[in-house]
Amino acid sequence: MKLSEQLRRFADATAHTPTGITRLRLRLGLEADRELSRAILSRLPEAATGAEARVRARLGRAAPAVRWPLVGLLVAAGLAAWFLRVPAENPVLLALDGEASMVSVGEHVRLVASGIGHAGGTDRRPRVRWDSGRLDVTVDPHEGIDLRVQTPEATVSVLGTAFTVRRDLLGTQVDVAHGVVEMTCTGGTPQRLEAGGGAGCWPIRPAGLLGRARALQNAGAPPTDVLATLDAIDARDADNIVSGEVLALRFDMLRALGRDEEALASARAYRAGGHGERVAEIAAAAVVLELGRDDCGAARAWAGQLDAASFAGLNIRCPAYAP
Amino acid sequence: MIGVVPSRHFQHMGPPGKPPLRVAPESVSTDEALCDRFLPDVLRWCARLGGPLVDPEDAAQEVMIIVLRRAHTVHDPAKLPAWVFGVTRRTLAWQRRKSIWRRFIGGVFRERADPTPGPSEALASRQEIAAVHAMLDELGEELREVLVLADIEGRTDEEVASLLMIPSGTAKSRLRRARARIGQLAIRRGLVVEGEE
Repeated sequence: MKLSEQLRRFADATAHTPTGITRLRLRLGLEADRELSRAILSRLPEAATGAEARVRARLGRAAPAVRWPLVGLLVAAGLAAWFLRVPAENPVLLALDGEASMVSVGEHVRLVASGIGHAGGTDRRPRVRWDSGRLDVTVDPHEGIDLRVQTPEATVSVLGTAFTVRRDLLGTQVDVAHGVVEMTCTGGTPQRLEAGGGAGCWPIRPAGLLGRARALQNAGAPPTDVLATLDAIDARDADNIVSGEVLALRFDMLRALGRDEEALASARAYRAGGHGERVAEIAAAAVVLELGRDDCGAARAWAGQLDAASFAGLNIRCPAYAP
Repeated sequence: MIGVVPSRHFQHMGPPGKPPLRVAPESVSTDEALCDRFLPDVLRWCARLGGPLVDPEDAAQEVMIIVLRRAHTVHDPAKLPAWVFGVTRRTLAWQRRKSIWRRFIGGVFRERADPTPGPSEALASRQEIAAVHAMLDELGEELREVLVLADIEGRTDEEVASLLMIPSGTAKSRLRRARARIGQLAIRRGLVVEGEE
């Protein structure tokens, strides 16, 4: 192959897509599509309690690396044994990119794709990588088909069933129409889902979780749900930019809930972290909270971050303290 | 050059005596205008310059957060594209350092780019994409940037120089060196390079 041809193929493969742009805009909290917002809100769990959030956060945590080599050996051995038993298999390589496009993989698997992904593997062991949107899967039972659908957050294995996989800003959601599927959130333990049931996996990376929080906020979700997503972010993993955005958003949500002490703690952490983008705005709001507690001393601690108007207001409110 | 809404930031930042920046008719807010103008470029730069261990969407999200928060500090709108490229470059440099660090202490930091191929890689061979990333990695930051901007994105020498904020002659010189170097790397990998057939 020519170098120029390879560079051209690289350029095509790394070009942005409209879906990628839309997804990023949602992550940045820019989309104001009411239909999309309603669709997002309809997928929120019925009771997003703190306990459920903690369980979901644990499901999102990476498993100890030492388990994977053993799992890989077992899977490889199982696949090898299975391969020796089943009839000849035909390789599969399909791009899934469309609106409700129906695709048959071999004789026993049917996919209806409204989004983006691709299918590989063989017709008896299809492996689908699903990137975004909705994928409806039907597998004929009792045919020994070993299908897996993988997203960045989840792996879904089926042995004859019908289910739907949806991946969007909120993560991956699996709903089972018929049969039984096993779903494993990345780093979590397998869950068995039966007909009529469903479960979801949240994004696993700090930026992805921030994107989920922003999408929820923009869709008008309750502040408790936004906070539950922010709580799932491990501060050790987030770099400075994401950390600052998380603290600022936590401050906004806690203030909305009237949890002033916690809001002030987030505000102080934002200031201590050296984040500058919203410090004036957060300082002004923090001063209001401190003054609400009649604590001029604590309010004055924000003086260095205030803009001129807010500083003047603070001096009027706390005249006993010299500038 | 983009037209931006005269937000409170831009109105205060304009030089005295000059008219305020005008809004483009289709823009509804500064954030929307900035995203419309720069998000596609940023996403492409993150995919092409980030390397195989950096998630382009995560990196692009971080770049755009900085752009949206700090664009008001850029007084001259003509310098915005170069400023945005600089933010992208610094963010990617941090992400690449982080990804190298995590390869050695992987259990401590869980965040990493998903190594499984994305949908666009289904039809273009995974090995081809990885090979180009590997060659670009070996070029180093300066040569990688000029090669991606010129030979992969098709920008002119002047556009490349403007984005990188370097003289046009420097951009041409770096591009010559980048092409020569990647040609050597390609031959080592068994690829055919024009002029070498």
